[in-house]
Amino acid sequence: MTNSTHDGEALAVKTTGLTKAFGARKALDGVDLEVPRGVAFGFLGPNGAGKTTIIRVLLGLAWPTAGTMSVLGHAVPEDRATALARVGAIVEEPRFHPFLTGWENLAAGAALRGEAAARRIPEVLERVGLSARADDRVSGYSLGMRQRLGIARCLLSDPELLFLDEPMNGLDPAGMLELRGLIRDLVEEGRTVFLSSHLLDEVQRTCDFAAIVDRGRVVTQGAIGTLTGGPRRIAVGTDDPGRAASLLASLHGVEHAAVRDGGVVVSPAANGTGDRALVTAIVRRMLEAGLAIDRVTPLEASLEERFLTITQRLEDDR
Amino acid sequence: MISDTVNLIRMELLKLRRRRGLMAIALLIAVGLVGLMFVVEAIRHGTNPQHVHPAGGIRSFEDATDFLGQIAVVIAAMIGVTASAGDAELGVLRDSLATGRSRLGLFATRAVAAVIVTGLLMAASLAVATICSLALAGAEPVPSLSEIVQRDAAVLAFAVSSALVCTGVAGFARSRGPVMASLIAFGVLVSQVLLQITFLGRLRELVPLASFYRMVGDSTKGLHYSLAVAIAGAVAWALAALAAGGWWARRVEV
Repeated sequence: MTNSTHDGEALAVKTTGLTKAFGARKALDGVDLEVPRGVAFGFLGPNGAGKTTIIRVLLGLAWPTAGTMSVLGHAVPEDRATALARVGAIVEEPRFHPFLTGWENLAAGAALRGEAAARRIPEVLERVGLSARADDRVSGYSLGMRQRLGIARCLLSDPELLFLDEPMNGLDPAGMLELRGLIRDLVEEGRTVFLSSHLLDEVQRTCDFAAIVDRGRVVTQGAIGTLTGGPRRIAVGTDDPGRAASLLASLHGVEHAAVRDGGVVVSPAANGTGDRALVTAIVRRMLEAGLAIDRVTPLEASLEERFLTITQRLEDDR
Repeated sequence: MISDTVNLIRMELLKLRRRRGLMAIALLIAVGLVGLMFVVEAIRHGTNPQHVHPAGGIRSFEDATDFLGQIAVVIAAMIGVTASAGDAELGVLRDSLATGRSRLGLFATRAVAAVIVTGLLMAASLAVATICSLALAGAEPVPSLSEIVQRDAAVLAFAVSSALVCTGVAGFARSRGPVMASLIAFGVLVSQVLLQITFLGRLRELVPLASFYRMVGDSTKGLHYSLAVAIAGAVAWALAALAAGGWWARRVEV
């Protein structure tokens, strides 16, 4: 491990060539990750991709096999205590002492953080809406309440950086909405939230930046807008989608045309014409062929599509 | 720094205290059993005073403290293992370690909490045994002050040593049940069997329970080594277990 660098200090998290092997299997395989400060950063990947492993390694709960890393500008694991003093984390799911009350569980967490953390208990309980249930035993809490108590425990250290591992798991839609709002509030306060999730839509809605991880490797990372960028596709509604798809597939500037949802989805070629010219060409070709058109709609690329494209491409390369 | 450490120990004590089922059983075993022993003897003596000696007196005190040596192992296993492996079993150890706190420091606070709770429970049981031995002595000779001090101190020292051994060993465990059962089985059953195997000769002095019998001055087991060696043996067991548990606490991945 090396010492932190100026580059690392500007970032909330930086890893270089981070590798974690369990025997012959690499859970992390040379991960280079850069998480800017003051953003919600989504760490996306399917189950078993290495999302929890990287959080465990960054928190000093597991040891890397190779590579370097820094958290808030401090090298980990060498300067782990300083690095983690202003970090809050929920790894996998928040766990508590079920026989202690919510307050007592936070007091146990605060004892690990110092006296300032203990003074913050009423404030964090209020923030997550658990003040009224603070004196109840945690064994009687719902999953959503445990998630909120977990976040309260994270906030005890007044963290600059929060690691939330699949925080939406088990939450109902209202709970997810509430948590999304809380995460955005935390980011507005200047904190960095590192959110691991397999819920692509959730990351797209909540995060500013994201990395996509697959089989222990970060395959792409950047601002959400950049990740979902690329040529927009065009949906065309018509009375004969099969014939329309055949016609449009051979059109100049079209890479692919497929029947979907009772219409045709056209994927422009990467070096093709612009949207306006392509839409004009599509409409002209279809009218010439005597096909009726009821709509022409540009489709925004979703993170999910980008994710599936990337992971499918990797699969094809293997 | 000191107040931080005191706070951590207080929290470990709270975690143990709030396991009400565990504490109730431990109290029942530590205090209830020895109390029951005297109650049964008192009833027997009351119903047949000619042939059954009084419940108290020096013999009963010696029997009770010998018995409490075994009880100490059970209590130490229950409390030490819970203090050490309880967080890992509940999955909260990960949250504690993710704060960046010294792993060794956290392990040490668990050991201190185990010693305090085990010590308090055994002190309560010794108080019951001592008071009953004096109060129910009747015409029997009562234990002298020096004998009371020696035997009570031996039980407490053995309980503390056992609590440290159990805390250290349980540092390797992620669930309490199997390790607790194993430690109780070794401390209460296997140790007794080993002490009975006379051809083991001086090797028997390595058994932790042998230290206890030597410290209380029990000559019936044929253990005639010095008190200093017995104390050193108990200390060595505790240190070895703590060193192993501490080493594992520093390197374990959670």
